[in-house]
Amino acid sequence: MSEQTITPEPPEAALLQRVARGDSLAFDQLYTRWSPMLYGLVCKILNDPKEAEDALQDGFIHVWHKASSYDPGRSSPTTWAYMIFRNKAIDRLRSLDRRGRGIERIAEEPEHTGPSAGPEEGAETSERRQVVKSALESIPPDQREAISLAFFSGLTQSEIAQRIGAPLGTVKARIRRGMLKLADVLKGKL
Amino acid sequence: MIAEHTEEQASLYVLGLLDGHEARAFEAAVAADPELAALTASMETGAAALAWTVPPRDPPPALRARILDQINRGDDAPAAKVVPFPRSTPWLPWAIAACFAVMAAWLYYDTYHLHLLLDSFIYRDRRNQAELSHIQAQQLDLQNNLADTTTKLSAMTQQKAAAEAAVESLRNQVAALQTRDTLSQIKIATLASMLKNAPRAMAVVAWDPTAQRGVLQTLHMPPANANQDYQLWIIDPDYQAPVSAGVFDPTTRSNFQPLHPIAKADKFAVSLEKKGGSAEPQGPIVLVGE
Repeated sequence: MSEQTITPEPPEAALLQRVARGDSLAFDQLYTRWSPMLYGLVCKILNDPKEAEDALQDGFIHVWHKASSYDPGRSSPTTWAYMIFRNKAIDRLRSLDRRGRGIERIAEEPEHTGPSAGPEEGAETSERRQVVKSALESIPPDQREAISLAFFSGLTQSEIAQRIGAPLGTVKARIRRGMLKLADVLKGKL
Repeated sequence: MIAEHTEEQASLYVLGLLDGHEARAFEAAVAADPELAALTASMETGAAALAWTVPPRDPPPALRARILDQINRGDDAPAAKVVPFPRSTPWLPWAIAACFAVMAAWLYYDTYHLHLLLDSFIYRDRRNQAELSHIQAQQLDLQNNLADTTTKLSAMTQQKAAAEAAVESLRNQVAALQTRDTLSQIKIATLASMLKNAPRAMAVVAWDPTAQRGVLQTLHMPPANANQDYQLWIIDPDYQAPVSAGVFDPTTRSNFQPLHPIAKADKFAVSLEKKGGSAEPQGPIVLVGE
């Protein structure tokens, strides 16, 4: 009877450190771990599979070159990656708008889907989704709507105000309150 | 303590809602303020939380190979297209490049200078806002103190008025007591007639030993002869002889004051003396009393 050995997966921060030193194997591991959630994100923002693929490629190339800029004292690796890929997708969305190829913005409210309906994911990821779902449900809907529009749609402050039919000052105040609440509720949980 | 405006800037920055200048100024502020840096980081976590709500999707398998191939080749940087210049003018590309370089340097310097100015204005604005908030807080404190002091002053004024009223009342009571005390010391003496021809004649003397003054009222006294006067005397054991209290007109009430200080007025007497009175009694005693 042979013994089966389970090797624990290295933490994402450790993988990022290796990527910063040019370790393509670590990069491949990060890709395997992150690409489904990041591809889901850029697809949601861009609503176009081809554009989403390009955004995902841009994002991972950025990770390859800028892994050394990751600061573990500032955020978790996942947060760091989410913000990079979200910004890449938004930049691409705005660029398309400027070139007159605007695509329909699909995201207005976050999908409280809970555990993934897509590829299989670990218990830790599933738990994080539950934490986030609870956190988002803890802020008022009007604040959640303003933040979601800003995060997923790439609209400007004025465009958000126009979209939800509220004065600009009100929109800013909703975003500020909602972000403070989210930051508070999620402190040390992601 | 981070101002509301700065919190708002942080939330807008995290969501990519600040324009270029604002974002750079905010990044400079974050670099200089650890508290603001911590807030911004926590907001980034909050923003990234939204991404967790999106269901994952598997990307096309070919994409993985494309990306790995790109990083392994090291050619991810887009290659610039090279447009050859005609051979007849080999200096032209260099001249154009030099012009572009000069323009780029000038634009860079100008933009950099503008950014510095803008950052400076934004910092000044933040500082002014902080100072304004501080001054407003101080003003509020002073207003509260003033209101408190005014209330206390009003209460003290009322207390002072009440104390003055109490003092006035006490003064009145003391004055009344003093009056009562003075009256209690007044000695009243009735002088009876020693005259056979006027047995109903009499006099009443009110003597104030504190003031050393008195009042004399006579009744049924026969008039004195033209060359005579009635004279009042006070008998004090401290003196060998009666002390004169002066001559008087028997038809009216008379105030008198003795010639010498009187310690104890044992008796009062009236005699009939020569006109103008005498230093000691020489004429007949007409009235006497204790």
